[in-house]
Amino acid sequence: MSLFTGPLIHSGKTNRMMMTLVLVSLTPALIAAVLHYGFTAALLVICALAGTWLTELVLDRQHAFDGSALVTGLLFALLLPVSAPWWLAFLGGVLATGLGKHAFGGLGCNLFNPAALSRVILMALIPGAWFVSTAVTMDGITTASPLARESSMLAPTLAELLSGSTPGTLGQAAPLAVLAGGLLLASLRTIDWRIPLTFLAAVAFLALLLPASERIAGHAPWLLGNPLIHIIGGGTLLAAFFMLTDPVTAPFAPVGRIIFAIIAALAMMLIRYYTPYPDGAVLAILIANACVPLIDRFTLELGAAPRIKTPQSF
Amino acid sequence: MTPYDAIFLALLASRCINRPQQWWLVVLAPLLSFVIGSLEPLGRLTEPLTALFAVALAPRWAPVGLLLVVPEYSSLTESIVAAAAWFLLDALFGSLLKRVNEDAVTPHLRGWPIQLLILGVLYYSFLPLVWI
Repeated sequence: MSLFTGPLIHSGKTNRMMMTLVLVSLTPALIAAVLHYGFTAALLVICALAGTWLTELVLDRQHAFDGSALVTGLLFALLLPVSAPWWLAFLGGVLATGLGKHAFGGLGCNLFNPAALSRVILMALIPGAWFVSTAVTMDGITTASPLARESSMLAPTLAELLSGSTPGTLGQAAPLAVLAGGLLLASLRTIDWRIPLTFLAAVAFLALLLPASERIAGHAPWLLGNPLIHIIGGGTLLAAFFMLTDPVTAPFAPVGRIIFAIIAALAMMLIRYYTPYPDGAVLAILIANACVPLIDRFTLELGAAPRIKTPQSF
Repeated sequence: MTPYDAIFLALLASRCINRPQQWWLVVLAPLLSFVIGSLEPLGRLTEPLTALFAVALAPRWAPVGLLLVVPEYSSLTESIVAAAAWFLLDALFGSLLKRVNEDAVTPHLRGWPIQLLILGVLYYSFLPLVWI
């Protein structure tokens, strides 16, 4: 007698196919970043890709050519500020694959988004390396972004935000390119549309709802009560479409995915409004990832129908 | 030591000891620490009494309880938040550890190393929320 464990229904999409779709969807954002920031951005992307792919090749040759390492590397590169040194991109790539993925058992076994995990580990270990010219005032501050402008500065205009003329990470160079890639993935059903939709709606709602705090100096008044800035600025779009939707680190059930997106939005907005951290997107992803086993436990016990997980990770 | 650090050390300690039936009573430790600490007539007896009550809450989990009473809680709210945070993070940490596929983890990372990695990620991920 043969015994099998689930999932037994195959979605028809292979890892390689899904990773290729994600890579294609990320290409507009990648091209925009390279056009916007030039050679430095290209170098950072190459170093991050080299870090993830070489680590994958050493640790798991079998999956080195399915594209998952390239997706992780590209996502990590898009989280980097252009002022980051090349070695940080390479090291981040190594950590994303080595610690973020293979420490937990490899493809499909990771608890946290590998790119986000690597970013947070490097923020904690070498916070000073993230900037060349921008001042760092405390441990863990991520990057200069429109959300980190001094309170004395004027609010960035919509045109500034959309054109990437405000300082930020490579992924913020062209929010429309990220959005286009995300919508492509959603339309092809590679990602569950519930997650980005709920996340963005919750971000907008919380931006209007949360009261201002006088305790944190440095937050510009225009940052508060402005949903559009919070959706377009920072890493919101990249998180919504490419990082929170990673099927390995998201809950099984549709209800669970909605709860997961709300938790991520709440964590990000609390960090943006009430802490000196300029952009809480990456930390919010990890906080939401940490809640997934509990969300799964409650939603599955309540009888919500589980969705089939595809064994992939980006 | 800040309450936040104490919470994570207590989480670590809680993995070293088997969970007794009354483990959840440890959640009262921060509150107890604040209340006993605010009773001025106790004087020099404050700390030993706090320690004694922390141990009495769940004797087999004394190290966890003692770690939670070490920080000075500045207000009742802070002690309640610390207790709630410990309780929630304990549940999160436990559920994450259950999700780890130990057989898939590289042999030299199984057990303590992977637990420490998860705890470290939780520590840095939730750290900004201390500001709130």
